[in-house]
Amino acid sequence: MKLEIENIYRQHTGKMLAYLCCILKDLDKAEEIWHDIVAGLFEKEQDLPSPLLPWLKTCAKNKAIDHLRKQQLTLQKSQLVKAIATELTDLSQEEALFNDQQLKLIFACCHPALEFDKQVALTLNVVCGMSTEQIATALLIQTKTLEQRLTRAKRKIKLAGIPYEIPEQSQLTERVQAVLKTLYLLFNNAVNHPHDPFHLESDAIQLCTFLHKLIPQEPEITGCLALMLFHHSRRASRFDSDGNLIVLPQQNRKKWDQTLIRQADKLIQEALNKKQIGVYQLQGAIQGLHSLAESAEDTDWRQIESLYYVLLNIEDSPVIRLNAAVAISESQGVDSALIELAHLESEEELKDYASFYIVKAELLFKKGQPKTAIENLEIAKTLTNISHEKRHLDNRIHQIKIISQNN
Amino acid sequence: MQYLMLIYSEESYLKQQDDSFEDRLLENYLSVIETLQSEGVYLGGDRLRPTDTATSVKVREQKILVTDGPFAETKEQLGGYFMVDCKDLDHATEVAAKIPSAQFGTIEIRPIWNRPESET
Repeated sequence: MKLEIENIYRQHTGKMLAYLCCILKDLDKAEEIWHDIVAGLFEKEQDLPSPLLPWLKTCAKNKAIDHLRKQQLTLQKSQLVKAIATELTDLSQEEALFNDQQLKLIFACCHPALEFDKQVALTLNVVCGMSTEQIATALLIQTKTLEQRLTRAKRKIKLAGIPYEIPEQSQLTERVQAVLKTLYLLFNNAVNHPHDPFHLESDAIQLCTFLHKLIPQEPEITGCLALMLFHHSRRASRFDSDGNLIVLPQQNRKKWDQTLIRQADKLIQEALNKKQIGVYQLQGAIQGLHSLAESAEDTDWRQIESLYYVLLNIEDSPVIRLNAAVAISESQGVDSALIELAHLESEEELKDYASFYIVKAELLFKKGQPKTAIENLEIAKTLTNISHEKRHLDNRIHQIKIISQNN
Repeated sequence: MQYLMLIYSEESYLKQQDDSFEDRLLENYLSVIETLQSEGVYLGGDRLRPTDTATSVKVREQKILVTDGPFAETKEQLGGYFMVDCKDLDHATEVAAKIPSAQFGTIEIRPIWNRPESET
């Protein structure tokens, strides 16, 4: 039954809290009412009502109105009237209203007045319906730290007056970037798991699809969705049956989901046609070039390199420069890439970044320096907590040792 | 919701500008205040004398300790404040962005701790 409760939370929390927040403008109260409703569902030894969602909504509305009546404040009386006024019999209008409310909740959770870590924690808790334990596990942080983070975030929303509103047109593009950053982090986290126990990958895609449907004029959303779908299309080839990581050049491309790739390709074209280039569109285009290459050897590295330069023009960061260096190693050669890496040696951001040492190791190995390559892979090992990444690095170290012994 | 807008900027920045800069700045302030008053947003505010006129007071173990200067040396100094009544944080942010010093300084938006008449 615990699983059933968890499923209900994961499936319906986002919608229900959105609905209640829009009536009550009070996340704490909304959560209280929602938890009451779920607890009530399992008190009776009966089957769950079906269809569930309309029943939940009616329950929520009644409890919310009850609460408002007890308050008897003039501001809330007007909200009470609004709540009653949203009594809709037309199902299609109801869905539109539900969507609107969910969008407002997402924007509130990803408000710039909340630091990024708080945005992520809130979105997972309030929009995706994950418990604090689940989030702590997914993000690899302590439950206590997360609980404090969530408490502070919810307090900030309440005390500073962060609104449950869709941003003005003039602010929309910027505010959307914050939401996309959170969604992409969720997505990336999931990509690191062979099994994605919390279904974050599909949740992130679902939320991004939702955003794309409701805000089709923002090409960065379209680009982010394309990016996610390109990555998602490779899921079957990312890990072997033992849960070992398979890197992109070695993936079996026959296992790639061509339907998803076509979908993503269509989306990225749609986005790029708007001629409002942005970071997610560019990353999507880069992944598209990988996805459309029939084999690793067929990859258009020159184009990828050019796209990285455009990306760096918009957002210059050491991590992006590192990724660009990989493209440069393919299009221009190992020496050019090593020069780029030399420039990045002093970057504080990369000092504890495992990928930096992995990229360096592979380049040094190509240069015929297996010993320093292995040294760098050993450093990379110390910088990751993820077991399948550690295993992968061990395997690679072993492989290099054998290859260099045979030469 | 009531907020205090704390207006921070580098005092040295003002000194570096030409003579007309301060006059134009103050004109802008008066104009913004007028607009905010007409919207029912502005509740009050003042310019503050520079930090070299500040005095800091502490009471420890019943002793009154007085020192010359602000409580901490900071890169930007508190130069004034607005007290406003805004719909929500987004509205407050819009208002803060209109404050002339926001162009070269920082506005800190702090919600005023609940008073009965400001409860929403």
